[in-house]
Formats: sequence, structure tokens, C-alpha cells
Amino acid sequence: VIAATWSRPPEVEVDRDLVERARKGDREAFAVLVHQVSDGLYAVAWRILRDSSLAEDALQNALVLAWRRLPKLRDPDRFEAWIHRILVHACYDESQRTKSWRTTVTVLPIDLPGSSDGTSTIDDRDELDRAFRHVSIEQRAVFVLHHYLGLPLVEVAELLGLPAGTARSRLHYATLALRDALVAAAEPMAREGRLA
Amino acid sequence: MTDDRSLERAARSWLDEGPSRAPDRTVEAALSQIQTTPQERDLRIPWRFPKMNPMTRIATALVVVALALGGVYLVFRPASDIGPPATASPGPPTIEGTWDVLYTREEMLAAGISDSGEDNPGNYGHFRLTFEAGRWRMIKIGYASGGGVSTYTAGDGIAHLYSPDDDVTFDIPYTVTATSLTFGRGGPVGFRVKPWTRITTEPMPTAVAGPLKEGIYDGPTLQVADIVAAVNADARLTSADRTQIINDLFEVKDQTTWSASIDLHGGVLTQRQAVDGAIQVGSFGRYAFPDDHTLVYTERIDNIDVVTVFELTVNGDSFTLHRTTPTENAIDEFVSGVLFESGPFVSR
Repeated sequence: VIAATWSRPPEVEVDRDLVERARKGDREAFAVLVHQVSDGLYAVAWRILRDSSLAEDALQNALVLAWRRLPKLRDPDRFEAWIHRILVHACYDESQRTKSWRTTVTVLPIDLPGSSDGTSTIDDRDELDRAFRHVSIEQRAVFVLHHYLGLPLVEVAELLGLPAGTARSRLHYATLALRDALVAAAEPMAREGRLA
Repeated sequence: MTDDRSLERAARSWLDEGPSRAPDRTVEAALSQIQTTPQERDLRIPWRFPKMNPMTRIATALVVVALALGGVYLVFRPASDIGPPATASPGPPTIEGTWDVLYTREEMLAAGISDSGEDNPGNYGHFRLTFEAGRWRMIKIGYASGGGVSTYTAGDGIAHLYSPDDDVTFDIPYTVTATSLTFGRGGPVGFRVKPWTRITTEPMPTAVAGPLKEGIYDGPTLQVADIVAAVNADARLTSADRTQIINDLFEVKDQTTWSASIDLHGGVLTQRQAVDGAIQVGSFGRYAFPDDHTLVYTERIDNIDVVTVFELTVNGDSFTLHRTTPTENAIDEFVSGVLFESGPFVSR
């Protein structure tokens, strides 16, 4: 149950034939595609925006825009990368639209994957969450595509239409911000340790 | 905790925490919206030949009329155009230069056009490709418009061509000799239908000095509803004119926002439009500043220079234009007004 709720969505094999049919205006084919890719897209949007409501809006806008622009997709085999790019831009739009980030209260399960090895404490996660909200939306996108989807930086750059150096730079600054946050979180604990 | 590996683990663990299922209501809402949403037409050719913009369509029509009346046409040739044709540079052959290719529909299909959407007359015929000083441009000979200038790098048999309309860089393998250029896979299909032949032609225009620095200038974002209201309020337009402007010239039916930008670079003015954020090149041509208050825009259409003169007012990093070249009819005046006179255009 935990895996189904909290882990990455499984990679889906998008059917090229469905993409071709949808490109030619077949709404039923596109609906099948939507059901195949929506979970993954939403997961990415949520992680970039850190807000359920904004992520839902980004997903809906991205899906509608993808439908509109689908006839212009050059290579059906690149459908997934193409729709992720649309989604990321939809996230940019949402972040512009709502400057003030709303706080989303997330009830975390006790036995989280990834926390069992002790690398991510509740404090760390809170700090990461806070720090991430101060990272620019463009930097967040690169960070999420790289660390969550596991895409190599060159693929992130290609997906976003960026020079590789720009993608690298955005990842660097996002990482720095998160590292600083963790250092800041660790300092009081260290001080407490010294005092003890 | 904060060394790279630990941070990476912590970040990945943290990123794993979050929803992985899209809410059903969101998916259903999108699918419901799609039921009433039309798809955009695909008018591109294999390398995304830009659609003709309203200004150019009008200019094309004017050219056709002028030719029919006995070859009455406008001629304006900036000084930079005058001079001997460029010759191939000495030394090992490079991609730099101007290349032509001519191929038929059958040859295009044989090269692998994957669907019927690209099988249209705009995609085959006579094309010209120019690489010069880090900029590339492709035009279709005899076609009214298209082919904005963009950047490229080339070396080790790979050309990296940036396509602003797709916002991607194509990495295309190529082989070049003194007289021919052959592309492999990795880019637009149209590049590899047949080998290109080197020709000598005029060089690309170079930067022009004047009251505006090179760069991209953005016009204001207009609501399509306001454009439609303005169309309807223009008493000079007939009902058919209004339909033509909305549906065919601006192509904003059922859209929300519209904006224009003007890109001045290397002696070329590229005019782009964005409809609901989707950007496309409208037209391009040479530009010149005869004085600090005049912008002359020259489009080359069917080998004829079509000149439009604007009164230019510069205010810091922005400018406004007022067309002084007379328009031929009410449609022309309306469209030109929105495209060029809806400023100020502000430096990006």
C-alpha cells in the first residue's frame, strides 16, 4: 500500500499507434494516453510545485494543451518527453499565477521508503521542503527531472530545450540551496551535541 | 549528512515522498475539456517552415496584383545589398555558404515523411539553406515568407542547428565537399531528401547601426476578445473581412491572448506572434534606419522587395511604430496596425 501511495509511478510504455491516432484527432486514443501518463505527470508536477491544487491545475492545463498541439508533434516516439516539457511549462505558468505558495499539510506514513536507512529524517524533510520553496521554479524543474525521474542532465537539458550548461547550473543552485538548508538544520543539533 | 552522496540520498528519499497518482477528478476534467477543444492544424513542413503571417499574406496579394497590372512593383535595395556575390571561401570545404536543393513530392515521401500531415505542397520544391557566421536560414524559393534567422555551430561533421520555433537544437551529421552538402538523420527530414548544391549568392545582411540596439522587443499582450471587438467596431470592414481577419489572418478564433514581438538581429527583422503562448515566426526581412526616426522594413517576396516605412519613436529601451506607407485596403490597415502599431515594443 505504501509503495502504491508513495513510490514513483511505474514507467509506462506509450503506444506509438495511440499517439499517431490521437495526432489525427482521435479523442478516444488520446484518452487512453492520458490514463497512461497522468499519474507520472502529476507526480512530477506535484514535486515541482509542492502543492496539490497547483499541480492539479498544471496537469489539466498540460493535458489540454497537449491535445491541442499534438498534430504538431514531430516524432511520436518522443511523446513522453514532449508532454513532460509541456507539463513543466504548465508548472511555470501556475507558479507565476500563484506567487504565494500555499502550505499543504501532508500526513506522512510512518514507514517511509528511503527513511529506513536513516538518510532522511523528519527534520531533514521539513528543511528540504522549506528550502525547496525558495528555489526558483526553473531550478526545481531540473532538480525533479534529474533526481526524481532519474534523467541524466543531458536528457533534462534536451527535454527542457536548454543548453546543457544551463541545466547543470540550475541543478547546482538548487542543490546548493538544499545543502545550505540541511546544514542549517544540522547546526542546532550539533550545538546541542557539543553542549551535552 | 551534507556531503554530496548523503544529500543526494536525502533528496531522492524526500522526492519519493509525495503522491504518485493523479486525482481522477483532474483527469476527468481534462478529458471533458478536450471533448470541446479543437486541435491546432499542423501547417509545418519537415523543418517547420513558418506560416505566412497576416502582413505577408497581404503583401503577397499586393505583389500578385502588381504583377498582373504590368509589373508595377516596389523596389528598395539597401546599400548593403549592392556588391559582388560571395564566393566560396578557400581552404577545406565547410558548411558555410549557400546551398540549394530541389526535390519532388515522391522524393520527399521516399525519404520518410511519416504521416499525411506533412505531405503537402509546402514541403517539396526548391529550397535554399544558408550558413554564415554562426547563423543559418532556410527559405523556400518562390514562397512568400518564412525562414527566420537562427544560430548554429558546426564541427566534426555535426551541425547543431537551433530552431526557435521548436525551441530545440538539432544535431545533424553531415558531409561536405566543395560543391555538395549531404545531411544524415537527426534533423528535419527535409534536410536529407537529397544532397544540397553549393551556390554563390548575396551574403546575409549584417548588423545595421541606428537608434535601436539589436535584440528582441516584446509588444503588449492583447486579449483576443479585444481584437475581435476592435474588428467588429471597424466600420470599414465587411462581414467577410472580419471573418478573414479573425479566422485566417490572425488565426485567433477560440484563442485567448495574442502578442507580437520584433527581433532585430544582424540586419534582419524577424516578426513573431504568440497565440496563447504558442510562438511562431510571422515574417522576416531586412531593416534599415535612414534616420533616427524612420524604420524601413523590406520583405523579399517572390524576388520582389516589398517595402514598408514606419515612423519610429524611441523611448529608452522601448519604441513605437507608426506606418507611413499607405495601406491598400481596410484589412491591410487593420492588420498592420495590430502587428506593428500596438506597441510599445519593450526590450526583453
